[in-house]
Amino acid sequence: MSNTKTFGTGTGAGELASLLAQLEDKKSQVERLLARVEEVLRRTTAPDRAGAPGPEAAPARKSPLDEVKTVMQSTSDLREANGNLSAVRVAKAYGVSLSQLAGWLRRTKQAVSKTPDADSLQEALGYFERVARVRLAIQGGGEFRKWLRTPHELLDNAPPLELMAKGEWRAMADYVDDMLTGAPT
Amino acid sequence: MTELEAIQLALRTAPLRPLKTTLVRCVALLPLTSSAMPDYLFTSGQANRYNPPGVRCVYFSGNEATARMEYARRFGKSRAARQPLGTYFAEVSLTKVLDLTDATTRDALKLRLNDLAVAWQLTKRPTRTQLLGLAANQGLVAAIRFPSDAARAKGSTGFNVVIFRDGVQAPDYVHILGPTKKPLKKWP
Repeated sequence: MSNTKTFGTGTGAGELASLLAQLEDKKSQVERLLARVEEVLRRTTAPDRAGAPGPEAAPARKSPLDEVKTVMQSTSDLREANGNLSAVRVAKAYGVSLSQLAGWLRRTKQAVSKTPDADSLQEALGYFERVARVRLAIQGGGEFRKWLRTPHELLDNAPPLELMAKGEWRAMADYVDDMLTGAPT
Repeated sequence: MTELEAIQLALRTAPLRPLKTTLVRCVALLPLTSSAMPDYLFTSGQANRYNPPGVRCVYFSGNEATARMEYARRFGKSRAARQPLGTYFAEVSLTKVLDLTDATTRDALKLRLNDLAVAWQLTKRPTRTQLLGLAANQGLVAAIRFPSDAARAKGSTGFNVVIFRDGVQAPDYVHILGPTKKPLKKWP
Protein backbone atom coordinates (compact mmCIF):
# COMPACT_ATOMS: atom_id res chain seq x y z
CA MET A 1 0.00 0.00 0.00
CA SER A 2 1.31 3.44 -0.87
CA ASN A 3 1.46 6.31 1.62
CA THR A 4 1.70 8.87 -1.15
CA LYS A 5 -1.12 11.43 -1.21
CA THR A 6 -2.08 13.54 -4.17
CA PHE A 7 -3.81 16.87 -4.03
CA GLY A 8 -6.42 17.51 -6.64
CA THR A 9 -8.95 20.19 -7.16
CA GLY A 10 -12.43 20.61 -5.69
CA THR A 11 -12.97 19.01 -2.31
CA GLY A 12 -9.26 18.24 -1.86
CA ALA A 13 -8.29 21.88 -2.34
CA GLY A 14 -10.96 23.01 0.09
CA GLU A 15 -9.70 20.54 2.68
CA LEU A 16 -6.14 21.77 2.17
CA ALA A 17 -7.21 25.39 2.66
CA SER A 18 -8.99 24.38 5.83
CA LEU A 19 -5.95 22.51 7.10
CA LEU A 20 -3.71 25.49 6.31
CA ALA A 21 -6.04 27.77 8.22
CA GLN A 22 -5.94 25.38 11.20
CA LEU A 23 -2.15 25.29 10.94
CA GLU A 24 -2.01 29.10 11.06
CA ASP A 25 -4.23 29.03 14.16
CA LYS A 26 -2.03 26.43 15.85
CA LYS A 27 1.10 28.41 14.91
CA SER A 28 -0.34 31.53 16.56
CA GLN A 29 -1.25 29.48 19.64
CA VAL A 30 2.28 28.03 19.86
CA GLU A 31 3.79 31.52 19.50
CA ARG A 32 1.56 32.83 22.30
CA LEU A 33 2.49 29.85 24.45
CA LEU A 34 6.21 30.41 23.77
CA ALA A 35 5.84 34.04 24.81
CA ARG A 36 4.18 32.92 28.06
CA VAL A 37 6.87 30.30 28.67
CA GLU A 38 9.50 33.01 28.19
CA GLU A 39 7.73 35.25 30.67
CA VAL A 40 7.35 32.49 33.28
CA LEU A 41 11.01 31.49 32.88
CA ARG A 42 12.08 35.11 33.35
CA ARG A 43 10.11 35.30 36.61
CA THR A 44 11.42 31.92 37.79
CA THR A 45 15.04 32.96 37.31
CA ALA A 46 14.59 36.29 39.08
CA PRO A 47 17.31 36.57 41.74
CA ASP A 48 14.93 36.81 44.67
CA ARG A 49 13.35 33.43 44.02
CA ALA A 50 14.76 30.97 46.53
CA GLY A 51 15.53 27.57 45.17
CA ALA A 52 15.81 28.64 41.58
CA PRO A 53 18.81 27.23 39.74
CA GLY A 54 21.62 29.57 38.82
CA PRO A 55 23.00 32.17 41.16
CA GLU A 56 20.77 31.78 44.16
CA ALA A 57 19.16 34.45 46.31
CA ALA A 58 21.64 37.33 46.43
CA PRO A 59 22.42 39.53 43.45
CA ALA A 60 25.65 39.04 41.51
CA ARG A 61 28.65 39.93 43.60
CA LYS A 62 31.76 41.60 42.29
CA SER A 63 34.88 39.60 41.86
CA PRO A 64 38.19 40.54 43.49
CA LEU A 65 39.60 40.55 39.97
CA ASP A 66 37.12 42.99 38.43
CA GLU A 67 39.51 45.89 38.76
CA VAL A 68 42.46 44.13 37.21
CA LYS A 69 42.79 45.34 33.64
CA THR A 70 44.56 42.27 32.29
CA VAL A 71 41.96 40.01 33.86
CA MET A 72 39.17 41.96 32.24
CA GLN A 73 40.98 41.94 28.90
CA SER A 74 41.29 38.17 29.08
CA THR A 75 37.58 37.84 28.37
CA SER A 76 37.16 40.70 25.90
CA ASP A 77 36.47 38.13 23.17
CA LEU A 78 33.18 37.34 24.93
CA ARG A 79 31.91 40.87 24.46
CA GLU A 80 30.28 42.66 21.55
CA ALA A 81 31.45 46.07 20.38
CA ASN A 82 28.84 47.68 22.66
CA GLY A 83 30.55 46.09 25.66
CA ASN A 84 27.81 43.59 26.42
CA LEU A 85 28.56 39.92 26.87
CA SER A 86 27.24 37.80 24.04
CA ALA A 87 25.62 34.40 24.52
CA VAL A 88 26.84 33.36 21.07
CA ARG A 89 30.44 34.17 21.98
CA VAL A 90 30.13 32.51 25.39
CA ALA A 91 28.69 29.34 23.83
CA LYS A 92 31.56 29.26 21.33
CA ALA A 93 34.20 29.73 24.03
CA TYR A 94 32.64 26.98 26.15
CA GLY A 95 32.28 24.64 23.17
CA VAL A 96 28.53 24.21 23.64
CA SER A 97 25.59 24.88 21.35
CA LEU A 98 23.52 28.02 21.71
CA SER A 99 20.48 25.84 22.52
CA GLN A 100 22.40 24.25 25.38
CA LEU A 101 23.46 27.62 26.76
CA ALA A 102 19.96 29.02 26.32
CA GLY A 103 18.60 26.08 28.32
CA TRP A 104 21.09 26.76 31.14
CA LEU A 105 20.06 30.42 31.10
CA ARG A 106 16.42 29.33 31.18
CA ARG A 107 15.64 31.08 27.95
CA THR A 108 14.45 29.81 24.61
CA LYS A 109 16.97 29.41 21.82
CA GLN A 110 14.87 31.77 19.70
CA ALA A 111 15.09 34.55 22.27
CA VAL A 112 18.84 34.15 22.79
CA SER A 113 19.50 33.92 19.04
CA LYS A 114 17.49 37.07 18.43
CA THR A 115 19.40 39.19 20.97
CA PRO A 116 22.45 37.28 22.22
CA ASP A 117 23.78 40.35 24.03
CA ALA A 118 20.47 41.38 25.61
CA ASP A 119 20.74 43.42 28.80
CA SER A 120 18.53 40.86 30.55
CA LEU A 121 21.24 38.20 29.97
CA GLN A 122 24.16 40.21 31.30
CA GLU A 123 23.99 39.21 34.97
CA ALA A 124 23.85 35.50 34.15
CA LEU A 125 26.50 35.74 31.43
CA GLY A 126 28.69 37.62 33.91
CA TYR A 127 29.20 34.37 35.83
CA PHE A 128 30.22 32.61 32.63
CA GLU A 129 32.70 35.41 31.99
CA ARG A 130 34.18 35.07 35.48
CA VAL A 131 34.67 31.35 34.93
CA ALA A 132 36.29 32.02 31.55
CA ARG A 133 38.89 34.16 33.30
CA VAL A 134 40.59 30.91 34.19
CA ARG A 135 42.07 31.23 30.68
CA LEU A 136 44.54 33.64 32.27
CA ALA A 137 46.06 30.64 33.97
CA ILE A 138 45.09 28.00 31.43
CA GLN A 139 46.20 29.46 28.14
CA GLY A 140 44.32 28.71 24.94
CA GLY A 141 40.68 28.06 24.08
CA GLY A 142 41.28 24.34 23.62
CA GLU A 143 42.88 24.01 27.04
CA PHE A 144 39.98 25.94 28.56
CA ARG A 145 37.40 23.63 27.00
CA LYS A 146 39.43 20.65 28.17
CA TRP A 147 39.57 22.11 31.70
CA LEU A 148 35.80 22.61 31.63
CA ARG A 149 35.31 18.93 30.90
CA THR A 150 37.83 17.53 33.37
CA PRO A 151 36.62 16.33 36.80
CA HIS A 152 38.05 18.34 39.68
CA GLU A 153 38.76 16.90 43.10
CA LEU A 154 37.48 19.97 44.96
CA LEU A 155 34.24 19.98 43.00
CA ASP A 156 33.17 16.52 44.14
CA ASN A 157 34.97 15.19 41.07
CA ALA A 158 32.52 16.91 38.75
CA PRO A 159 33.69 18.73 35.62
CA PRO A 160 33.10 22.51 35.77
CA LEU A 161 30.89 22.38 32.68
CA GLU A 162 28.53 19.94 34.38
CA LEU A 163 28.24 22.31 37.35
CA MET A 164 27.57 25.27 35.07
CA ALA A 165 24.83 23.24 33.41
CA LYS A 166 23.34 22.56 36.85
CA GLY A 167 23.27 26.27 37.66
CA GLU A 168 26.22 26.33 40.08
CA TRP A 169 27.39 29.54 38.45
CA ARG A 170 28.38 31.44 41.56
CA ALA A 171 30.23 28.49 43.10
CA MET A 172 32.19 28.03 39.88
CA ALA A 173 32.93 31.75 39.48
CA ASP A 174 34.16 31.89 43.08
CA TYR A 175 36.22 28.77 42.48
CA VAL A 176 38.03 30.44 39.59
CA ASP A 177 38.56 33.63 41.62
CA ASP A 178 40.09 31.54 44.39
CA MET A 179 42.23 29.72 41.86
CA LEU A 180 43.58 32.97 40.44
CA THR A 181 44.09 34.60 43.82
CA GLY A 182 45.63 31.55 45.47
CA ALA A 183 43.10 31.31 48.30
CA PRO A 184 43.66 28.20 50.43
CA THR A 185 41.28 25.33 49.82
CA MET B 1 19.07 26.54 69.95
CA THR B 2 20.39 26.90 66.40
CA GLU B 3 23.75 25.49 65.36
CA LEU B 4 25.15 29.01 65.13
CA GLU B 5 23.95 29.88 68.65
CA ALA B 6 25.50 26.67 69.99
CA ILE B 7 28.81 27.58 68.37
CA GLN B 8 28.62 31.15 69.73
CA LEU B 9 28.05 29.76 73.22
CA ALA B 10 30.94 27.29 72.94
CA LEU B 11 33.19 30.03 71.62
CA ARG B 12 32.88 32.01 74.86
CA THR B 13 34.80 29.34 76.76
CA ALA B 14 37.06 27.98 74.03
CA PRO B 15 40.77 28.60 74.69
CA LEU B 16 42.37 31.44 72.75
CA ARG B 17 46.09 31.91 72.29
CA PRO B 18 48.38 34.52 70.78
CA LEU B 19 50.04 34.02 67.40
CA LYS B 20 53.17 35.88 66.38
CA THR B 21 54.62 34.50 63.20
CA THR B 22 55.14 34.98 59.47
CA LEU B 23 52.49 33.60 57.15
CA VAL B 24 52.64 32.96 53.40
CA ARG B 25 50.45 32.98 50.32
CA CYS B 26 51.16 31.87 46.75
CA VAL B 27 49.36 33.42 43.79
CA ALA B 28 49.64 33.00 40.03
CA LEU B 29 52.00 35.77 38.99
CA LEU B 30 49.96 37.23 36.14
CA PRO B 31 46.86 38.32 38.10
CA LEU B 32 49.10 39.41 40.98
CA THR B 33 51.19 41.74 38.84
CA SER B 34 48.46 42.97 36.54
CA SER B 35 47.78 46.08 38.58
CA ALA B 36 50.38 48.60 39.70
CA MET B 37 49.98 47.79 43.39
CA PRO B 38 48.15 44.58 44.24
CA ASP B 39 45.89 44.70 47.29
CA TYR B 40 47.55 41.97 49.30
CA LEU B 41 44.89 42.19 52.00
CA PHE B 42 41.91 42.33 49.67
CA THR B 43 38.79 40.84 51.24
CA SER B 44 36.52 39.51 48.53
CA GLY B 45 33.65 38.58 50.82
CA GLN B 46 33.45 35.26 48.98
CA ALA B 47 32.77 32.11 50.93
CA ASN B 48 35.69 29.95 51.90
CA ARG B 49 36.30 27.15 54.38
CA TYR B 50 35.97 29.39 57.47
CA ASN B 51 33.62 32.08 56.29
CA PRO B 52 30.21 32.30 54.68
CA PRO B 53 29.78 35.04 52.05
CA GLY B 54 30.02 38.59 53.36
CA VAL B 55 32.68 38.07 56.04
CA ARG B 56 35.76 40.24 55.51
CA CYS B 57 38.81 38.05 55.98
CA VAL B 58 42.04 36.86 54.36
CA TYR B 59 43.66 33.44 54.28
CA PHE B 60 47.33 32.57 54.59
CA SER B 61 49.35 29.41 55.05
CA GLY B 62 51.77 28.60 57.83
CA ASN B 63 54.78 28.11 55.56
CA GLU B 64 55.80 28.15 51.91
CA ALA B 65 55.41 24.40 51.40
CA THR B 66 51.79 24.53 52.58
CA ALA B 67 51.05 27.65 50.55
CA ARG B 68 52.43 25.88 47.49
CA MET B 69 50.22 22.83 48.11
CA GLU B 70 47.15 25.01 48.59
CA TYR B 71 47.88 26.91 45.37
CA ALA B 72 48.58 23.80 43.32
CA ARG B 73 45.51 21.90 44.46
CA ARG B 74 43.05 23.70 42.19
CA PHE B 75 45.33 23.42 39.17
CA GLY B 76 45.72 19.67 39.58
CA LYS B 77 48.16 18.12 37.15
CA SER B 78 47.56 20.68 34.41
CA ARG B 79 50.45 22.46 32.77
CA ALA B 80 49.12 25.68 34.29
CA ALA B 81 50.24 24.49 37.71
CA ARG B 82 53.79 25.26 36.63
CA GLN B 83 53.25 28.82 35.47
CA PRO B 84 55.15 31.68 37.13
CA LEU B 85 54.19 32.00 40.74
CA GLY B 86 54.20 34.90 43.18
CA THR B 87 54.77 34.47 46.92
CA TYR B 88 54.19 37.08 49.60
CA PHE B 89 54.56 37.10 53.34
CA ALA B 90 52.55 38.55 56.21
CA GLU B 91 54.06 39.23 59.60
CA VAL B 92 51.28 38.88 62.13
CA SER B 93 50.87 39.50 65.82
CA LEU B 94 47.44 38.50 67.04
CA THR B 95 46.34 38.03 70.63
CA LYS B 96 43.08 36.11 70.26
CA VAL B 97 43.53 33.15 67.98
CA LEU B 98 41.45 30.00 67.96
CA ASP B 99 43.77 27.09 67.27
CA LEU B 100 41.89 24.17 65.73
CA THR B 101 45.06 22.16 65.32
CA ASP B 102 44.79 21.75 69.10
CA ALA B 103 42.53 18.91 70.30
CA THR B 104 41.47 20.80 73.46
CA THR B 105 40.16 23.68 71.36
CA ARG B 106 38.31 21.32 69.03
CA ASP B 107 36.77 19.52 72.00
CA ALA B 108 35.59 22.82 73.50
CA LEU B 109 33.84 23.58 70.22
CA LYS B 110 32.58 20.00 69.78
CA LEU B 111 34.39 19.75 66.46
CA ARG B 112 35.92 16.59 65.06
CA LEU B 113 38.83 16.54 62.64
CA ASN B 114 36.39 15.32 59.96
CA ASP B 115 34.34 18.50 60.39
CA LEU B 116 37.40 20.53 59.45
CA ALA B 117 37.94 18.62 56.21
CA VAL B 118 34.39 18.77 54.90
CA ALA B 119 33.96 19.93 51.29
CA TRP B 120 32.48 23.42 51.27
CA GLN B 121 32.65 24.49 47.64
CA LEU B 122 29.22 23.28 46.55
CA THR B 123 27.28 23.27 49.81
CA LYS B 124 23.87 24.90 49.85
CA ARG B 125 23.95 25.63 53.61
CA PRO B 126 26.88 27.00 55.59
CA THR B 127 29.19 24.28 56.90
CA ARG B 128 30.09 24.06 60.60
CA THR B 129 33.45 25.67 59.90
CA GLN B 130 31.76 28.53 58.07
CA LEU B 131 29.37 29.04 60.99
CA LEU B 132 32.37 29.03 63.32
CA GLY B 133 33.95 31.77 61.20
CA LEU B 134 30.72 33.74 61.28
CA ALA B 135 30.57 33.48 65.08
CA ALA B 136 34.28 34.23 65.47
CA ASN B 137 33.97 37.33 63.32
CA GLN B 138 31.69 38.97 65.87
CA GLY B 139 34.65 40.56 67.62
CA LEU B 140 35.63 37.62 69.81
CA VAL B 141 38.47 36.28 67.74
CA ALA B 142 41.08 37.79 65.40
CA ALA B 143 41.96 34.60 63.55
CA ILE B 144 41.49 30.85 63.31
CA ARG B 145 44.44 28.53 62.81
CA PHE B 146 43.38 25.31 61.15
CA PRO B 147 44.88 22.22 59.50
CA SER B 148 45.54 22.54 55.77
CA ASP B 149 43.26 20.25 53.80
CA ALA B 150 45.57 20.46 50.79
CA ALA B 151 48.42 19.17 52.94
CA ARG B 152 46.20 16.41 54.33
CA ALA B 153 45.21 15.39 50.80
CA LYS B 154 48.92 15.10 49.96
CA GLY B 155 49.55 12.93 53.02
CA SER B 156 51.41 15.77 54.67
CA THR B 157 50.66 18.24 57.46
CA GLY B 158 50.51 21.98 57.50
CA PHE B 159 48.27 24.75 58.73
CA ASN B 160 46.48 27.80 57.42
CA VAL B 161 45.20 30.90 59.17
CA VAL B 162 42.10 32.92 58.41
CA ILE B 163 42.33 36.48 59.74
CA PHE B 164 39.14 38.49 60.27
CA ARG B 165 39.44 42.17 59.34
CA ASP B 166 37.15 43.36 62.12
CA GLY B 167 39.00 41.26 64.70
CA VAL B 168 42.39 42.89 64.14
CA GLN B 169 42.61 45.86 66.51
CA ALA B 170 45.80 47.48 67.86
CA PRO B 171 48.10 46.30 69.30
CA ASP B 172 47.38 43.37 66.97
CA TYR B 173 48.65 43.79 63.43
CA VAL B 174 49.04 42.19 60.04
CA HIS B 175 51.90 43.56 57.93
CA ILE B 176 52.60 42.53 54.35
CA LEU B 177 56.36 42.47 54.10
CA GLY B 178 58.05 44.63 51.48
CA PRO B 179 61.62 45.57 50.60
CA THR B 180 61.87 48.06 53.48
CA LYS B 181 60.59 48.24 57.04
CA LYS B 182 57.47 49.89 55.73
CA PRO B 183 54.79 47.26 55.14
CA LEU B 184 53.26 47.09 51.67
CA LYS B 185 49.87 46.84 53.32
CA LYS B 186 48.72 46.61 56.92
CA TRP B 187 45.83 46.01 59.28
CA PRO B 188 44.58 47.85 61.32
